[in-house]
Amino acid sequence: MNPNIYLHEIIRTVPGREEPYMASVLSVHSDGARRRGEQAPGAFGQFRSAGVSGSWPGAINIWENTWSGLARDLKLQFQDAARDTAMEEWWNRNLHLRRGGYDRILIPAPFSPTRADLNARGAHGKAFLHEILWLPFGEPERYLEEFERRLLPAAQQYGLELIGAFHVAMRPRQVLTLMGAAEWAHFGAFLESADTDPALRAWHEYRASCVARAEEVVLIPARHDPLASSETRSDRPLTSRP
Amino acid sequence: MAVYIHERIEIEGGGRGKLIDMIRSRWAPHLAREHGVRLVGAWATVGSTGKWPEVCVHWEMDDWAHFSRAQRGQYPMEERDVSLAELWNQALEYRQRGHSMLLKPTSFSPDLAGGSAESIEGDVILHEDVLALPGRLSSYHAALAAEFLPLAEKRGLRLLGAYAHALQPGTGLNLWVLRDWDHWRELMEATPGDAELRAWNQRLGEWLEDLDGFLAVRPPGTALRT
Repeated sequence: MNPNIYLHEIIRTVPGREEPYMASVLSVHSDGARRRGEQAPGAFGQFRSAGVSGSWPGAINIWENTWSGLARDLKLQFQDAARDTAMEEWWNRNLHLRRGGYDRILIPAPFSPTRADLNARGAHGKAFLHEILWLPFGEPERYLEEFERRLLPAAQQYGLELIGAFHVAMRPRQVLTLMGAAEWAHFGAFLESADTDPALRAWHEYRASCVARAEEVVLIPARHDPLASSETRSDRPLTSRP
Repeated sequence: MAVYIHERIEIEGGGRGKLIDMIRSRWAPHLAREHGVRLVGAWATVGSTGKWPEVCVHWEMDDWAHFSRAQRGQYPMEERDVSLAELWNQALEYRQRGHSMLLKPTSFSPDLAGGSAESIEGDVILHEDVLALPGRLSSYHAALAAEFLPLAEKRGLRLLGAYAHALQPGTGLNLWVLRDWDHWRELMEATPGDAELRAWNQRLGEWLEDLDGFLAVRPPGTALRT
């Protein structure tokens, strides 16, 4: 059972500035001085668009937090008389890196791993399939159950692993899923087998029966993100890289 | 019956707090004085829950006759209201585009005076964009009033407004007030195990195509510099 929640951000970056933006935003999230002794939310993952499917260019940040931590952060950001001056300074000095964005708060499915779980299993990849799906009211819970039961075992046969599977707070029709492939060849084989592998075909039949709308984007990890590399991940702290 | 204009304004750079300050201190007093238009709220969209940077502004007029008078008095503003034209141009530094909705209230939606009298106020606004199945918005509003409103009030949510778009069939807007951030956190933590809310959410498909919620806040004047 994953006890966390996740802040998911889709960023309209200034074209070509995706990596500097992701490093910059990580630095402000990791700034201990802003936290008044509270633990900083950890970077669950930072990614940028690969440009092969879905909107580009852009970046996606996912931060691991709790309801208490997020409520505290928002109160500090919007209503604390002392003000979050470090965030204000960062916001106004980095306008050349990003233009806007769209955020969601994600509630993990029971089987969705924490960042610590991903670290423990050495999760990494070169290509990540990120999907936001609109389902009939009441269907998201079943969709995530089917995702775990049907898709994950089949996808693992092609080298894809689960990174996250979520409900979306205050948006009852939406789910968001994220899977990673260690190599692009794994991702290609997974796509190639959609119609020929009986398990994948069954999954896609189920999907076609209930998905009203889908927004996919294929991502690559930020160069500083532990998900980017299998070689040096154990040396990489989660929140302190510039 | 009051009518409303609801604006969602895309902010340039770090202009969010500055635009809210300008609306509160100059724009709204001018519209109230010259045209009788009342500011219900100028709120910062909480970027962690939706589109950013963005400001939402909600205006109230007495009825369609008042709406007509107020717009006739403003447009074209270069001729009819040069003070407003100057404000509009000064605000270009903070915003250059936005999207507005003309809204009609439901019968159970409080107006600004009624909301003030009942002390409907709080730090956090839950903003719900409603998209109904064809022909189902009225049925949704009836169920919202009869079934969901009591559940919401039991959980401390106060209805600020429930509206139908005047021009787009099936489009609506709900605005709820939450006491503060701790109230929101309590609601979010409790929702997964709340059987009544779960049952209501399961039924939304009877009326709705989609329901999209995000948060907005009415920041104090000194707290927002982004």
